[in-house]
Amino acid sequence: MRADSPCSLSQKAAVFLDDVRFNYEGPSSFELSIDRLTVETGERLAIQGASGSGKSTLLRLIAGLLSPQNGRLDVFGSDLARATDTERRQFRLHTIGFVFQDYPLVESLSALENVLLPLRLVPKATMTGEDVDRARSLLRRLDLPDSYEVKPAALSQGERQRVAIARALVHEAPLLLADEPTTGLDPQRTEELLDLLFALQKERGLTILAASHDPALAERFGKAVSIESLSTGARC
Amino acid sequence: MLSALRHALALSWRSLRHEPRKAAALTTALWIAFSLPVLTWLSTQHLESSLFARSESTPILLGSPGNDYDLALSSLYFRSRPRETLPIATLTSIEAESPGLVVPIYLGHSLQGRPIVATSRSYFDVRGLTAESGRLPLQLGEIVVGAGVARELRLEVGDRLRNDLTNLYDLSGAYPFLLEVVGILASTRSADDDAVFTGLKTAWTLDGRMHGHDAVQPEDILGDENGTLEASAAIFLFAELNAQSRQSFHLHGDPDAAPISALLVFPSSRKQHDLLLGSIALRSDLQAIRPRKIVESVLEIVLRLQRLLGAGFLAIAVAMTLLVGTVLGLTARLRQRDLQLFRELGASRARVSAILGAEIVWVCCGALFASGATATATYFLLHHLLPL
Repeated sequence: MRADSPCSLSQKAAVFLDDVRFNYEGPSSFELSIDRLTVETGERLAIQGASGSGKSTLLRLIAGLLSPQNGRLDVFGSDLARATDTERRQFRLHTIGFVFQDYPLVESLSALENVLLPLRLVPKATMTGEDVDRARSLLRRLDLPDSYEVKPAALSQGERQRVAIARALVHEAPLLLADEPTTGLDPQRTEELLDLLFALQKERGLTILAASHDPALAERFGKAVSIESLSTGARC
Repeated sequence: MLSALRHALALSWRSLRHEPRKAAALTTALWIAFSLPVLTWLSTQHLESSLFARSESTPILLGSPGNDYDLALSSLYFRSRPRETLPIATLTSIEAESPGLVVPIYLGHSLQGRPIVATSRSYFDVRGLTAESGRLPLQLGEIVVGAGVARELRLEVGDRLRNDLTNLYDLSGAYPFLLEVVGILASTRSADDDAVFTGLKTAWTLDGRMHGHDAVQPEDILGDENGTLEASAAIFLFAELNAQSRQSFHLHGDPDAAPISALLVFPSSRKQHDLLLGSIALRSDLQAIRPRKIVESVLEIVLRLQRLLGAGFLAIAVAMTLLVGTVLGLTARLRQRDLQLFRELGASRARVSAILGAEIVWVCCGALFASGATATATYFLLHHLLPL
């Protein structure tokens, strides 16, 4: 597998981090330091690293769920390092699709309703029949055609995972962040999922950043970078 | 804003449906907290208006000196029998003294547990009682029953039944008589619905003061002591009042001393009202009460009790609110991951709070709806079905 340089800077950058520092405050302190990272629009990048190395924290910084103490963090031109909570929240609603590591679903909602959840949370939310059709289509593409009305409790781990992925894609955000998206999936399902993500990347010009400790996923992504290499002090 | 509210309501509704037992428990707790004060208030209002309506329609009540509460409750609501009686001559003397209407009431007998109220025809006029079927009693041995009695005992015009034995162990007492139902009163949702009405002479017959028997032949007379005849036991005493036997019934003893329980007095003017009260105040054999005053004092006790209950209900409401708050707080903790997910997806704190708050709105709406239905049903029950 070839790890392309993530340091190239261009006008098409979807994600650009420069000298970003983030400290977790609390009893178990942790510091993430990213000297520079650039991801072009429509590009896909796997971020590798051991557990606890800061992959999830990096994704959460890019999603605007965390705010860095220092540095520059631009996502699709928005300076998230200086954005307010409200700005980051609204940015997240419209720009980011996030597949969380533990695939959380709302147990009281059906699979279809879980997929549609981000659309219900948008201010001035108006959910159209087109949105519902898109959600159904995603479930079908993720091989969950019979799960529309099924509650999460009745879904297998793999099915829950695919519902969570459909939810991250439903509002057609230009940036998909996936934290360990294939954990728990068998090789066949992993292949199918990655095929779908790559197909969507082509169709929509989607930018995908995935954090994983699985070298196979990094290989399938074609472009990968280790989290440790981002904080070596090397500047592009 | 509206669509955000709609989505918050939809999400919270799903959450409540996901845990129906919790939703039902919360709704029930709030329903109890909402309903108890309302039901108590409705019942008290109904009791107050019913008691006042009857007491206000009776300006003065005359009876033997004694417990005025007892006199009011027995004469207005037939709840008990006054221990002391008045002679029927009182009726004549009051009629002579005070222009207006004087209605006698005589209580003491019962029919299958329902009080028999002996009175004059005027009683039906002053209470607005009309026969829904049949007619009002005219002759000895005839009764007319209240709507409630007719319904409960399934009585129809023409039915015949005996009054209750007053004292099982009084061998010399009068035997029960067979009485004929000649009319059923239209319901007035008052104490009249649960009473049996008859004439005074019928009640005196049930007392044993009046009786009827075969014609007495000279050989049937065993002795004569100061005008009181001692007759042979062979003379047949009628135990039934009918067309044949009715004419033979007669009163023994002083007709003016025949008993009544009370007199309802309707003076012709305010002046006559005050004059009569002044006159009765000077008499030791009679007491006059104004039922409204008695009812007011009874209601004062009820209102005090209501205030006491109100404080209790406030405590219950506070406890229920705390309980609901605790349950919702625990729910929020249990749903911490859901709420965190909403935030991670981009929902504002206000939106997350709205989703949680919408659950409270749903529960409160359910409880209010149930309370409204309960209050409506209670109101209907109190005003249309249950007599006082």
